[in-house]
Amino acid sequence: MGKNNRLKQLIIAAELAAVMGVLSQLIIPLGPIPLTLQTIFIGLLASLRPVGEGIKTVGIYLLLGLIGIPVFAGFHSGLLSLIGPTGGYLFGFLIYVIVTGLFLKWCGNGRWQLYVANLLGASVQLLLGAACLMIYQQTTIQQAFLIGVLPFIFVGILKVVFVCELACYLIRRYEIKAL
Amino acid sequence: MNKLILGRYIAGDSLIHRLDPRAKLVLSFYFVGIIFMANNWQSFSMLLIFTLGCILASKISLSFFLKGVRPLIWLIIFTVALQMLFSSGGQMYWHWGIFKISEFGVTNGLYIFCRFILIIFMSTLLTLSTAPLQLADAIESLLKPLKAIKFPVYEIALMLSIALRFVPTLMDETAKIMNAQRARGVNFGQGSLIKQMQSIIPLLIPLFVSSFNRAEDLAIAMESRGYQGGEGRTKYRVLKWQTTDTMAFVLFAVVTVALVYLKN
Repeated sequence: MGKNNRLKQLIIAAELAAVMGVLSQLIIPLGPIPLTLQTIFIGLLASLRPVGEGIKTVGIYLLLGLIGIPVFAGFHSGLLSLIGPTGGYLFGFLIYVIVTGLFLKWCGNGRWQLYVANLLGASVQLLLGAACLMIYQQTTIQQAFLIGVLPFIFVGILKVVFVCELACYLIRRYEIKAL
Repeated sequence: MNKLILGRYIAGDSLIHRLDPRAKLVLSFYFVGIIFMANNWQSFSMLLIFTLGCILASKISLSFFLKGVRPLIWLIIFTVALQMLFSSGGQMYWHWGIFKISEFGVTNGLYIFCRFILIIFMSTLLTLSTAPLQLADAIESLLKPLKAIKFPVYEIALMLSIALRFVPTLMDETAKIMNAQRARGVNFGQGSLIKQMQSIIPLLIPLFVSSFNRAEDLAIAMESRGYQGGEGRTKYRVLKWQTTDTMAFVLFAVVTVALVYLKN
């Protein structure tokens, strides 16, 4: 890989992190559980871009939040968002990108692979978020599931379907090769 | 819009503001860690007094810290209520079906409430008293030892500063693209769910594409100006470790010892 290419990759990851920060503030109102665009962005990032770039993007996004730029949903930022009770969901983005990206890398990027990979990534993210809540609040597994997983399942499935269909379309339209 | 550029930093010239950002970052993480050691009244009140002391020393109004509690208030209330209603042990005060309020539940709920407040105050203090750029430098400096295991510390610092630079640009660009698509008849945030989700597509794709194009331009611009990666590059802002930073570490060590002494 040439030097120029390497620098370009770093810059792309940095820009996508900034895009993610901006998209986190845009919300589709879905009743009590809002759907922020960054969750859709993360699905597309994981489905269409190489794993390494995804990890860099999400890592920089988390660091941007840590240093106090309000890039997390609802203009939040700071140490609290990351190591607070809901921090698990943010680190979950990183896990989402890794799980989905690696699955697609090994199994190709057809329609069913996209569905399986995104469902897998989204579930792991939710479980990690709920696990953090559980540790913080010292609740039982059932209570954590009730607060941390159950309310997000419907929105999660909706999101996965949308991301997969859009990714499928883009892959066909722009002939994106398996990563 | 301004919020996204400046972060939540409040400029000032207090003892806390002048501390080295590295010290503040490390100590904030450390404090959140030791909060979990506290398990009785004495230890919680000691930590609370210490935290309030830090806030006083920063000369930032307490109302900014209370604002930090607001976004989490429902989570806090929910958790505390959950603890109070469902945990049992000790003397029983009230009982209805599966709901019960016991001595154990009440104290546990209160402890969790205190823990939340302490963590919120301390981490808010870090972001309020330290500018984003300072914290970015601190992160780079603290990660430096990882260079030994080939961790790309310099590249992370570069990406962080590029991302910082582009957050406001992309904010403008998003607004522009949304307006351009509105002019073409897209209704953002209106119509059925399917319509709303479809309306995201003409926003996401131009954002992706223009990011890639700009990355290409920026890479070429940087290379043509002789950019060669991290080796031998000097810094404009240099962090300086002072005696007060060492003193801060000593203070936290004293707090830890007191905490170990006070807890059950």
